[in-house]
Formats: sequence, structure tokens, C-alpha cells
Amino acid sequence: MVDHNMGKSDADLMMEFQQGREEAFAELVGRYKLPLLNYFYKLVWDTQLSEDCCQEVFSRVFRHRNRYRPTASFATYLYRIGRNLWIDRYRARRNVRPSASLDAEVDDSGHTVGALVAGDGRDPSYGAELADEVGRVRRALDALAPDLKETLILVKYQGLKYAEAADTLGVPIGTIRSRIHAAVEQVRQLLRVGADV
Amino acid sequence: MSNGENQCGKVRELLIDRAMGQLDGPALAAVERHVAACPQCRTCAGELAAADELLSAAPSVAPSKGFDAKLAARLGSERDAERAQRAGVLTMLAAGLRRVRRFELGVAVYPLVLLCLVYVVWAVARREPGFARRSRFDDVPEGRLALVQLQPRPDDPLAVSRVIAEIEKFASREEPEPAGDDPFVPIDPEPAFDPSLAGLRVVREVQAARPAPATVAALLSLPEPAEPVAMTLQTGAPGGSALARARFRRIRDSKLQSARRAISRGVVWLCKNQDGAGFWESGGPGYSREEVTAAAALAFMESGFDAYGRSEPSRHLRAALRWLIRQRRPDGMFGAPGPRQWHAHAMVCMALSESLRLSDHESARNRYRPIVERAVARLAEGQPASGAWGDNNPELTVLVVMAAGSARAAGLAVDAGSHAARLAWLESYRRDRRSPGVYTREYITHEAGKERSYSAIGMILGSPETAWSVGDGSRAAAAELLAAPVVWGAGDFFRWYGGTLAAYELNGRSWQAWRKRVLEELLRNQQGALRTKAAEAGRGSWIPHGITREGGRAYSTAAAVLALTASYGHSPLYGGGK
Repeated sequence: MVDHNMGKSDADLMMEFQQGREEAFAELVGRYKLPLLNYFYKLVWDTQLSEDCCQEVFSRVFRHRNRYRPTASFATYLYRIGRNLWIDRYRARRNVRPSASLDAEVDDSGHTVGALVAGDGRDPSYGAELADEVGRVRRALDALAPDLKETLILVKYQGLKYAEAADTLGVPIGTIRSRIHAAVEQVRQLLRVGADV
Repeated sequence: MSNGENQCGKVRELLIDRAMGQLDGPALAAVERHVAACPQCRTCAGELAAADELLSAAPSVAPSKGFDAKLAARLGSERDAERAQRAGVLTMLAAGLRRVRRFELGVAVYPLVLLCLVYVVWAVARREPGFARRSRFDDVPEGRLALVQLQPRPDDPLAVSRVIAEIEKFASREEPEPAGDDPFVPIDPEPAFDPSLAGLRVVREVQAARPAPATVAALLSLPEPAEPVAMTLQTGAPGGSALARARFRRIRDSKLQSARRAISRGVVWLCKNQDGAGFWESGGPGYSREEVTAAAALAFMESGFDAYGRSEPSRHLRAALRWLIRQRRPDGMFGAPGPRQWHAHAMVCMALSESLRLSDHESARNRYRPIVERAVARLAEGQPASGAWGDNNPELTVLVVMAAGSARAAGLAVDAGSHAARLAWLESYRRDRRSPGVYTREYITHEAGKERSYSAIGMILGSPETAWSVGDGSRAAAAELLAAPVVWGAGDFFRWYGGTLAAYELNGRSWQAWRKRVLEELLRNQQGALRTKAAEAGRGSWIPHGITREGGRAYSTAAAVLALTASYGHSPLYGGGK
């Protein structure tokens, strides 16, 4: 079978989708399903929540497909939606308990407000991984300030260029670079051999 | 600082950009050359590479097995919503076009169009049998009369005595014996009464042109009419399969096609999505299969199907009732222990009691009647001292009242003392020295607008024996009921079904206002307007929203079907036995 989508850019696929070709959207979902899922996963370390957020992002892209303009990369567009979704959910939960401390629970899954920001989602596997290297990395990431962590996730793990990350987060490129340098330096210090992370 | 140190400083900044994959072309090449020549920068680059390698060890996940299906379902809902929106836009465009045409045709046409519309609305409202409050024949206490319209032939005036003779012959026929031990074996439908034997012609089944005799004895006492008369005779109570058929016909013959189609699609969806074992799955751990299956079974029965028919829905209903009976626990309860066990138990009591009520085959009924009686007895045994269930929860308490009412209507014994205690507790909501009928108590819930309307539903459905008359709190209850938003995502099973029953009890303008809003909202939110493969799976159902999301799609669909069928006013099932 011939794959009519092979070799087409994300922007081309979105334009085709806007014209009614849903197979183009399915191709985009196939391309970004895993990266987007892991974007949310590194924010919260919760598989179910990550899947829910990922599906919601695709729903929003579907719903508002006519708003997409190829002036920005599709990845930027996608992660911007994802980030806004995350901010909305975090803000919505924060508004339910306006006086809640960072340690207050936001739902009965055990998540706390502070954990949502820091990304400690109390995934059931968390405890088992603490002793090993993966656990060290997770703790190192979670030790970062929220803005440093989300910037590092976009650049290091989602592969965005500084300009794309700046577009996604709505900050200057210089700010992105500063955040990345600060994040990498902090993580490097934490992950040095013998460091207590 | 020397030039070399300056250069190292700049390169070390670029090393991070290099590790992050941000450098390419000449910039990358320059950094590579410097690193190759500078030991200190080479060491720094090595440390960064190690850190980057460690960062790369951060865990990742793969999508779960159900991810694609869930996403497809979400996108299907998006398509449905778009389709519904486009239909609304087209309607607006058509209305706009009509306005333009009116201008083109001139002022003289406009009043004529308006008159035609008024006539159509009047004619439909006049002919619609299911939505106006009529006299009820459901509680004809004796005899078995066929549901027909009797219209004498022009050359043969109606002879009541002849009709009676045929009806009594019909009523005294032998009841077929169901085979086997299974109480839900399909039985051939009873032969319809043949009015032609009495020299009568069946025109169609309509409501009586004038009050029909409520009993056979009253019918016998009628004098021979001097002129032809049309009357409707309803099958006798307490119910039986004929009651189910009467419900079915009332929906079938309804002029409100949209509601009829919606009920039909909802029933079809339930048929297609029943588990092979006979239950319907809930949407989450908070709701048991028993509760959902009981709700679906009730939806089938209110739509006019009984457990003994040969239709496809009857077959599914039979499977559901069999499954429910098998779920009884050793202590006579239904539903797993947990926060909603009493909800599930009350719902199962209602469903099984209603199935008893719709069964007119004594020998079959006797096979599972003891199970239902034991379950109903648990309603009294488990009642807290206050008279209310669920920590003073009027919703659960009214569900129990409805279950007790359904049991009583099926001829089962219901503990009078516990019933009185429940009613007294509900009555306490009415007492207020400042103004009669205003509710002084509220129960805690996180859903805004739910407290008072739920209390209103509880009052209306739960206390028929009290002095409830127009002006004595019923207006206040109606106001409370109608004040809360009628939006699909803002309610739950109790609100939609119980609210519709309550509004029906109030009758009059309250009923009309409620029914209109409920119909609009339910018809708008039924899934499946799109004729696509993706939409096929959900066609006919209602997506669960809000606090009953855990009930799942079968639960929400059952609630919606029940709210639609309640519009037909089939019977005061849950009015505490009135």
C-alpha cells in the first residue's frame, strides 16, 4: 500500500487536514503521539494523567484546526496547546482551593499542588526507581524550578530549537538559553558522582 | 584576562548549546575545533556529555493499549458536536432566508404564514396524546380488558352488553404455563381481543372521548347508549404484560417523532452494548454493574418491553433480569458493599418489582418473587433511625421510597413503619415557620444548584400521603425544581428521571415547562447524528458527564431514556403507592 503521507511536512499535513482530509491528521497523531505523551509524563510522572492530557491536546487540535497557520512549526503549535492545557489544569485546581498550601491534595490520587508544579506525580513506580540511576535523574529534574524544568523538557527531550521553545513559552530566545544553561548546570552538579540526589 | 581565556569562556557557554543540539554549521565546527585543541574545554565537554547522557536516561512511557480507542472516541465526539453545530447554523440560515423571502413576498403574506404556524402548533398539541395529563386507566382493579377504541358501525349501534360478553370471554381464557424453571422464558403473547366478534370495528387506540368506566362493574352498569359513542377500555390492573404493551403503543403512536426516535435509538444502543452475561458495564469503580443494569432494565420496561415478549429488547431485558437475580448476596442485598450499595440495592428493587408488575403469569412470578420480597424487606431492615439513608441524603432516601412504591405496586408487602419514618424525614424539609414549603435543610454536595431541587424532587415523589395540594408548598417545590439548570452535564440520574416524574406529578405549567426543557436538552445531546463508522458505536447513547461520569454511558443512556419515557406519564410508579 502506498503511504500518501510519507515525506510530507507537518505543515502540509495540517493544511490537508484543514481541507477535510482526516488521514493527514491521523498521520500527525502518529508522529506526535509518543513525544507529546512523554512531554506530559516528564512533567507529572503519571501515565494516566499524561495520556488524558495528550488526548485532550489532540482533541483541541482537531476542534480548532482552522486556527493553525503555518507561520509557526506544528511542533510549536502543538506544545503551546499542551502547555496551555497544563497551565489551565494547574490553575483550575489551584482556584478550587485558593488558600491551599503546596502540600494540600488537589484530588484523591495523592497529587499535591506543589507536586503538580514540581512534577512529582506519585506514580506507583516512583518508589521502586528511587534507588537507581533513573530515580536520580527524575529527582534531579524535579529539583529544578518549574520554568527551568519545562524549558529543559521542551529542548532536551522534545527536541525543540531555542526559537521554537521561545515561541512555545512566549519568552525571548535569550531567556530560553539562560534557562537551559542554568538547568543543565544545576543538573550537572546534582548528578556528579557521589552527589546526594 | 587573556584572549585564550575569553575564548574558552565563550566556548564553554556554547558547549551547553552543543549538548542540547542547538549548534550546527560553522558555529558547531568552530566549537569542535576548539575542544579538540583545549584540554580544559575538553574536560568540560566531557562532563557535559556525561550529564547529558544521564539526562537521557529519564524514563519514558509508551501509550497504553486503549489509548488509540479512547482518542478515537474523543475525536468522534468532536465530530458529532461539529455536526450538531452545523445543523444549528443551517437552521439559522434557513430562518434568515425565510425572513428575506418574507420581505420579498410582501407584508400581506406574513400574517398568513403566522396563522398557519399557529394552526400547526395547535393541531399537534391537540392531537399529541402522550404529553397532556389524562385520566389514568392503569389502576383498573379488576378484569382484563383489551385496549381498543370501540366505534360502532353506522348500521349497528354500540351494544355494550355484547362488548362485555366478548371481553369476559377474553378475560377468562387459560393462562399458558411457562416451561422450565427459568422465570423469564418467553411466552407467546396473549391473543388480542377481537372486537369484530362483538360487531365492532377497531378504528385506533385513542383516549376516551369522555370518561371511560373504570371497572368492569361500572361498564356493566352503563345503559345502552342512544347514539354511537367511542370509548377506550384499558387492560386491567395491577398491570401485566398488557401494561407494557400499552406503554409501547403510546410511544409508538406518539406524534412527537423526535422523542419516539430518541427512545428507540437509546434502547437499540443498550441492546447492542449489553455484555453477553446480561449486565451493562459502569464507567468506573464507584458505580456497580447492578446499579447500571437495573437502570437499563427499567429503561426497557418504561419503553414498553416486558420480560416475556419475543422482541429483541425483551430478550435483552430477560438476560438483564436473570443476571440481576443471580447477583443477590447471601444477606439478600444487591450491589457490592460500598458507598453506593444502597443506591444499587434500591435500583435493583425497583427493576425487579417492576418486572413483577409487568408479569401476568403467576407461576413464573412465583419463582423469583421471594427474592424480590427479601430484597424489599432489606429496605426496611437497613433503614437508619432518622428515616433517611446516606447521611441524610434526600436523593438516596427518595430512591428507597420509589423502590418501596414500586414494590407495593407489584403487590409486595412493604413495611409501613419504615415507610412512615422515611416520609416523616422528607416532610421535615417542608417545615419552615417563615413561609410554608420553603426548605430549611440542605444536604452537602459539591454540585451547585443541586441541593434545593433535589429536596423538591424528594418532597414531590416521596410524600404523596401528606396533604399536598396546590398552594401548599407544591408551588415552592415547582419553583425549586425549575430554578436549577436543565443542562445535560449538570445533572444525574436522579435529577433527570426523578425530576421528570416530579414535574409530571405537579402537572400544569410546571410540567409543560420542565418537559419542554428536558426534551430539548436530551434530544440535542443524544449521540450519533453523524453517519460515519466512528460515530456508529455511540449512536443512540448519551455521553456521561459531570458527577455521574463514573456511571458510564449505559447508565447515562438509561437515565435519558427514562426521562423521555416519563414524559408519557405511563404510571405513578414511584408515588409511594398512590
